[in-house]
Amino acid sequence: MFFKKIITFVSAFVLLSFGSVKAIDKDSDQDWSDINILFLIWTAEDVEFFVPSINGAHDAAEDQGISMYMEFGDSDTAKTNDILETAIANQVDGIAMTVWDDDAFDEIVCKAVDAGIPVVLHNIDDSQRGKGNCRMAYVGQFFIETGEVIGQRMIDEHGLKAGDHVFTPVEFPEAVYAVQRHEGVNNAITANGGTTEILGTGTDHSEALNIMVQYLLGHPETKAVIGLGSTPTSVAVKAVQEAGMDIPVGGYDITPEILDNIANGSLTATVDQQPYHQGYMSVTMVAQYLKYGLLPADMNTGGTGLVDKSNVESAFKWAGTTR
Amino acid sequence: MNQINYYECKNVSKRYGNLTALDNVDFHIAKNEVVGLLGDNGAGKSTLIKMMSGVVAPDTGDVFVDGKETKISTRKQSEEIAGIETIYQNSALCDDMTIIRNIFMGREITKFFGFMDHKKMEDLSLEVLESGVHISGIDSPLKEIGALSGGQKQAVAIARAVYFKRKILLLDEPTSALSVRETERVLKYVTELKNENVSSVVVTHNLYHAFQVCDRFVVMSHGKVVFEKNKSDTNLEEVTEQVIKV
Amino acid sequence: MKNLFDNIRSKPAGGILILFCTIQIVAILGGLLYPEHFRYLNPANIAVLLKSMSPLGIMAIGVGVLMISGEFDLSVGTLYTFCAIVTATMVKEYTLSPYLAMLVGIIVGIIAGLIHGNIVNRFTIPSFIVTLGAMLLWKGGTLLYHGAKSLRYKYESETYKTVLTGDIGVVDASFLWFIGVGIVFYFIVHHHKIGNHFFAVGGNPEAAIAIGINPKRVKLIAFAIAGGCAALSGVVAMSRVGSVQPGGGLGLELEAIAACVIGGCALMGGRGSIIGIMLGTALIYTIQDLLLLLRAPGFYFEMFVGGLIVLAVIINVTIRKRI
Repeated sequence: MFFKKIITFVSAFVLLSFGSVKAIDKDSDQDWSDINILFLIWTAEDVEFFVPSINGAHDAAEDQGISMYMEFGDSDTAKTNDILETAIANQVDGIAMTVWDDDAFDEIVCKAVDAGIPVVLHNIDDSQRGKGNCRMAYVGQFFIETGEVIGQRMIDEHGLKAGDHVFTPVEFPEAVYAVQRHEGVNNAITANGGTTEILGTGTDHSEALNIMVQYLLGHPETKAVIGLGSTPTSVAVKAVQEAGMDIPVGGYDITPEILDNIANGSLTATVDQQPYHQGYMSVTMVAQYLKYGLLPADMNTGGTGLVDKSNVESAFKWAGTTR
Repeated sequence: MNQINYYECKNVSKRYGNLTALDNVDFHIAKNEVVGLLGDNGAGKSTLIKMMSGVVAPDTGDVFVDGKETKISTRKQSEEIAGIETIYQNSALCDDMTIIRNIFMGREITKFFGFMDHKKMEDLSLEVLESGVHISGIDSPLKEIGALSGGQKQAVAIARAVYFKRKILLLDEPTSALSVRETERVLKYVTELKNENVSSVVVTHNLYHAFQVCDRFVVMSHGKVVFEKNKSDTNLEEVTEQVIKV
Repeated sequence: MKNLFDNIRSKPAGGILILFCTIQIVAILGGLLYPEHFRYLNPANIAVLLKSMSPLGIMAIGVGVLMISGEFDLSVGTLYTFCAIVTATMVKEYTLSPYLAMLVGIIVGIIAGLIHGNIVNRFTIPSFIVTLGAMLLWKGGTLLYHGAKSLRYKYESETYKTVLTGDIGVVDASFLWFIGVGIVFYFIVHHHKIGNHFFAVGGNPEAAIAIGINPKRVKLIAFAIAGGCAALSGVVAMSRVGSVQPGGGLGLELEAIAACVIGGCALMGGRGSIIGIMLGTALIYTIQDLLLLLRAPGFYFEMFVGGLIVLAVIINVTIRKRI
């Protein structure tokens, strides 16, 4: 009886102690709202891909209790540089942006960092990572690594052999993301003795579909299709059907078509770079560096995981908001 | 002669700011007549022409058509009321369209719901081309205007005006861009038209051509009419002198 | 025989007709002689070739009619997207019948064209500039109306699905729409008096005014046609892929102009033919198809297509000039 009382007393004491531990960051009395962060999206406003990213950035700003404003670079290096110059001149506290050209932003990012403004990248990094740019960290997909992952998955699941040809279409073959994703997929396929070919499709789904069907008709020996971007991956299954072929399909990114195709089994798997994390984590890292001096670190959003039939349900559920 | 003039204007003046383009001008043109409107640059010839065709309205003065006082303030009115059509140097024709489509531009003959009656237009075009002057060298109205020579284009423009019942043709430098042979043909055409009750006002710098075709000469200078005589009462030297005189 | 040849050559569509027939004859022979290596006559290839032409073809017809009248509309690419989204939301959110929704979309396109025409007429600003601004306006308008997300376009009624995407053998419904639009405008442009006015106003505006044609009114009609065709092409493209992306369609306006010029339309107006425009469109997609079937390197693909288009224009002009 006495022993039981001691246990109860000790448990209660322990519970009370835990219960009174505060969440340091969230419940802080400190007002952080005078911290102002710039969240810069490198494209125009109408790119669907960034909707979850923007949601993530907003959620992070709210969770961190800081102020944030957003700008769009319109795929224009000059315009982006102007936006950054203005931000630095207005003494912004931190910047979360994208380096999608190896040279065009070297000067401005170093200028910001030298002025004491932390810069964390999201979505695309300098191809030489931290060696090519003054940025503090990169939150986004590691293109080459994920290319190898999806390539290997297609090989394993569908028994691709030496001499097999894989079609790897992408929106803009000269862009950094395209070159690196292709490098990754190509690494996996050529290590297996096969070949790949890249082709530009643009972002219009109708035109992309036409081009991909015509490619397949001209290359009937193709054994698989791995899209390297959301446009080709979205129309790949239809393209294979219209070409009268029956070959496996995999790819990158999440769109309603891609999720449907995963659910009905016609698309094996897709690499999800989880734009929500890119927005959320990049802004969080910048905020926490400013608040507590926590140093940002590179993060491979989406890791080496793939979205396939086994986990597609949650992707469906949260599509467009956080997925 | 106490005939009623096709067109007459009296005491007509037009100013552009400080510049007096027309200064109390009297001008008339009668049936079966070709009038030469002469004068050096800036004399007021083009302003008078523009006024006759309704592009420009006079500040003061009166206009009479067939003896009745009228007001002409638009191009359409000058066409409909006075039967005037201007034949430009560039002939108001479209190079990339056929002769048929040019003749009937804006006045297409339609069957139902505005769809063109190609057959009828082609037949009428043949008539137009064969009547009046036989515009040599044009064997088919399906030819594009761009394939014609300058003289042929002028002739088509004139034939078009005649077909649509114009009574007065205003020819603005009609021969300046033409070869010698083509000039002869156009001048001959204008003379023949005179006898078919289509009168012409010929504005030109080329006094030799004017003398070939005109019945009467009107010389303008600084907005005024300084000289007016019938061909029978004057000669080339006198007219030239009047034009050159300051 | 020579007379027939000269006759064809002298028409605006003459050059492109000769060029197109030559290419087709060579391609068909190739397809007959080497059916396994050059699958030009493979039913899947014919099907996709016909399908691919329709959206651009319909847009190019509208652009061409306007070009003949001497004006440009650079916003047709963004109208293509905007009107398609309007149609899709009419069905999805306002539960309109898909036919009515399509009509609404086309009417929106016509109204847009009338707005462009009115501004050009009223303020005498070159249409190139006005519609360049309009292009950005409609791009933003799409975002305002629907945000950056793509929209699925699923059919409720089976008949509508057939009307827009059904097929008879290799001929797809979208191709029939293309032919239908071509026939309608063939009669309007070449056999109706308003067609004569388009040519007059574009070829020699002073002549048209001298004759008593009102160029402003005529051009307004042409602008409306361009807008309406852009809208229809967007709906047709959207039906093909089952979704519409904001940000799609950009760049199509230049391809439409290219198709018109290849087909014999004069950039400055006054010259052109509907058949020429249709053949110009067909030639662009045939070149794309042939290159893919002939296994042209995917990475430099766009360069090849561009180069061949320029070559086609040169040949076209040469054939015409040898009169």
